[in-house]
Amino acid sequence: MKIFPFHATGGAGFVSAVERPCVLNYLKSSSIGVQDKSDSMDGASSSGGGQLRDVLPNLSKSKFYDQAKQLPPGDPASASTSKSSGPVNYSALLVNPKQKGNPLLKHITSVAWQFEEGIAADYQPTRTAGILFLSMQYHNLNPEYLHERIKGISNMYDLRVLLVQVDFANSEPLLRTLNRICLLAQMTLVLAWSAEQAGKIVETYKMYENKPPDMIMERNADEPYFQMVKALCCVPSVNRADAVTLLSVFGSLEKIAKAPLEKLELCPGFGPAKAERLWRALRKPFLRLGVTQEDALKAAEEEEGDDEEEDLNDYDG
Amino acid sequence: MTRMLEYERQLLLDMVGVNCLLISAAGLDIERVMESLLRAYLDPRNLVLVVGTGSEQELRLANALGVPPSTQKCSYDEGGVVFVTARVLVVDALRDRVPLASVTGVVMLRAHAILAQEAFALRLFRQRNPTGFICAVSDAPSRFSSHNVRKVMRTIFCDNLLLWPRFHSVVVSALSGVTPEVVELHVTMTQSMLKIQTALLELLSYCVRELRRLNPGLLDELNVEEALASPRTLQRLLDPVWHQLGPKSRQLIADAKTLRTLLRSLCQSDSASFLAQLAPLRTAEYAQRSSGWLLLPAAESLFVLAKGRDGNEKEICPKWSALADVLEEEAKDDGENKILILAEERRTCRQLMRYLTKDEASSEDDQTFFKKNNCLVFLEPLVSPLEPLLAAFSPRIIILYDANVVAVRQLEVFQARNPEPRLRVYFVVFGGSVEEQLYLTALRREKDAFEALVREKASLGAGEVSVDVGVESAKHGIVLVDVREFRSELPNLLHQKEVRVEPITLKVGDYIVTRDLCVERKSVSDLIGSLNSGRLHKQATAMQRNYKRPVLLIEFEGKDVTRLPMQRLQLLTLLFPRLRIIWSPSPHASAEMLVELKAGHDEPSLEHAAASHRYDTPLLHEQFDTTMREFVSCLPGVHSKNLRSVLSRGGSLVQLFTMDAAKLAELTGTAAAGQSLHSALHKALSPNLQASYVKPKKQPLKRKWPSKKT
Repeated sequence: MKIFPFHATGGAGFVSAVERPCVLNYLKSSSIGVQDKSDSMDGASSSGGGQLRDVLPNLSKSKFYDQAKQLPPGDPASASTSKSSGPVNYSALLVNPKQKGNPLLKHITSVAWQFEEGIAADYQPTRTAGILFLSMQYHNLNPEYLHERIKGISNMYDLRVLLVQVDFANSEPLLRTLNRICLLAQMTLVLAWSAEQAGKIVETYKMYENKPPDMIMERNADEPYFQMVKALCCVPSVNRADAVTLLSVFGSLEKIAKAPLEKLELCPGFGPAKAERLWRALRKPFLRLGVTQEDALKAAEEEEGDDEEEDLNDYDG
Repeated sequence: MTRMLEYERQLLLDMVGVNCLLISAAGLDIERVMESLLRAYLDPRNLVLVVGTGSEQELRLANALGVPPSTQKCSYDEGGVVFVTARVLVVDALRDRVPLASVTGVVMLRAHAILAQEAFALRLFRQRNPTGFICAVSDAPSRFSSHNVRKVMRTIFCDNLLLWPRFHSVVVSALSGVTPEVVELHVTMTQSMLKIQTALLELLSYCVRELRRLNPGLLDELNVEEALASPRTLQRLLDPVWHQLGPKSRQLIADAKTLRTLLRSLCQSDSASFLAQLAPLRTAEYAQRSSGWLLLPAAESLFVLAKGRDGNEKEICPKWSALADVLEEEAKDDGENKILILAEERRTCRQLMRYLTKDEASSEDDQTFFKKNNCLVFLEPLVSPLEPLLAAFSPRIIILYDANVVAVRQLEVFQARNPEPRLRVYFVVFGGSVEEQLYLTALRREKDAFEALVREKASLGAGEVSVDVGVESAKHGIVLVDVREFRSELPNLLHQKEVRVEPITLKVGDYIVTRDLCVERKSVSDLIGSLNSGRLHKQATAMQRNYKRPVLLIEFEGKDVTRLPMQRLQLLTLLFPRLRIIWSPSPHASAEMLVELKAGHDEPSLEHAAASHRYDTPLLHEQFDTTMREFVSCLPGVHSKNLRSVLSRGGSLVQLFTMDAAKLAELTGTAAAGQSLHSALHKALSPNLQASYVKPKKQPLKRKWPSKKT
């Protein structure tokens, strides 16, 4: 199982030294052992960061890393404002330098992104949306980290996403805690099962910045042909290809419904069972056995002015 | 009513008033026993609830007893036998509308298909009524694995397992008295048929091999025999792992089913129809879709042989000539005999009809009998139960055109019940063919299943099935649950966790957990469907409008995660930043989460709910056929507002076809809608290519979600 270097080996130290001294304080007060560990790992992580900077020498923001390190432990807010002096390109996906080395960055390929010290979240696709990244494995070792990060971004964005990479074998208890934390902290929990998936999720948030909701809204003005295909697909075991076949063989719904069973059976893709099911279905009365038209209509009157959305997903039996 | 057979009498005595799970062999006709049993309770002083699902068996039973089936509204006031669906029973019990404490007993049909809501209904019954009987019956022994039978027995809170296989000594002696005279006709296949059969089997075993190769560890039990068994058996084997199969595997399974159909029709029909069935498989479209069996040499020889067989001299099915011989023989006698030919499929009946009457041009599809000398010959598809058919025709000679275990059993039972006249049964089967093999497999499978059950029964110690029914309390407060949600497991689990579950027709959300918290539950397939159709967008809008804390509960399982519609879900979160998402790996986890969410919060307010929700709305799905309701709702001109009117005034598709545009306008509410519905019903439809050319779909940066991490 892979653990992100900035998280697993020196994460806590790295985080606390740069911007979140309170984590360090917490660690000090809670357990000496942990503090020692974080101190010793701090060095490791800085050197790791140094290597990264060598790899990406053009990153203008990288110099703030050392500056930030020298800042006195104190108000993190003032620290972050002092850093955002350079021009911020808000059309790009902004990435907190703390995320350097996160493998998910490799998978952001379709949008421009840049490190930006001044952001509170880990990833900021838009001004109103912030994403915190959390590896479950890391959370298991350092549950306090998340609380501190959440404090840091409360009230900063309209949409606060907690992107959790499920990389821990026994994820169920952790998932439960994370669900609860997100409800309390009013964050939206999104899960990814690999770094690639996580990268694509971050990328999509940027890409969908100005996306109209059409994709997930009802389309009423479909062509009659496609509506009919959809209707035929409602019959159990009839799939899209079958529906297309039926319409091309018979033409109209009337001809399909009035075709003898034998003709239906001869359609490619139709066995006797499927043909008979369709044949029977199209002949079924709409009203269930024992329900009279009056009953049904009476219910209709009661429903008037009521825009009840009927759940179409209730299958019988 | 004919006399009861000995085993039926004993069965009845075993079952009356006790807790039991009865599993009988198929074809033994336990329906009759059930009828007698229930008839005994047809008295207002009793109240016996029959929990059904509207199956055909249940409809027949209700009809015989003269009580309404579970698809109709039921009333408990008059006592006697009441058919009710599990969902209605649960809702009624939770609303204290059914006097469960004074119910005599509960009868459960199709015990092999017990689901969450049935289990919930039985638990509620047991909690409030520790003495009433629970009797569950099934005639599908192969549906009970060792694990399954224990699960069912826990569900019905009893350890009394009654097994009635065909080899039960009482059954054997009852059916061995008067037996029909059986003539087995072993017909030999022609050379080309044998070769085709070999080729098909080879192709089938290729599919099975590929399936096992692609899914190591998943499908180890799968073999050719399994693939040849009924599609339902195969499906049951595959269901637990279905979501883990890739598209290639699924195509292989579809191909295996196609090959199986071909094998069957090879045994049933003539060369021309067989060739016609092959035709669609030779198209380029199918070749692209198929899993690659078309490239094998066996496939080539299959096509060549089938073509050659249908060459200048058309080869007729050897069974047909055998059948004609038998008819010739039997019709020679001067007596006025009635002969009944039973084939598995209606299609075969029609083919035989045309062949035997030498009337190729016959267009009257409904004609199911003809005269041969003095004999009346009927052609009927095999149905279960066979008894009404036999009683109606009272034939003396029966020809079984397809080998079928259940049909044979039913003939035995019918003969035992009606010793006079003695039946002569011709059993026409291809010797050494797949058909014969399938028949034997079906017999063996049932026998194996029973033997396993007998062992299970022996190992089932007293008290091993726990009768812990739990307690009903409102320790963790109240959750309002939409009545449609009772199909899922979650309400049952919430109830087990000592939450009071209040059924209510919710307009918004599925669960109201606290005053401000409203939950919409979605399985992954629901999530995909409702994101595509726009329903979830509407639901989220409504939740956000009515509740401070709208929650989307996503229930996912193991490999479901590769199917998650992430991009659409992300768009939803962007549009509804206040919508929280709970990820739950199982219904149990969901129940725990919901209970946890309740802690320290106000109870959901019925008043608040009543302001935006209403009790007791008759639901569309209770009054209308599910398939047709969905079908009609997709038609042009029909929308959620006029759906009910179209359905109840329209009556059926056939009736809709007879209506003109004006009448349809009346149904749909507007002239435009009526017009579009009218043209959709009658006009030939084809994809409007031009329209899609003029207005190309805008799909910037369309990217496939990575399906798997390599």
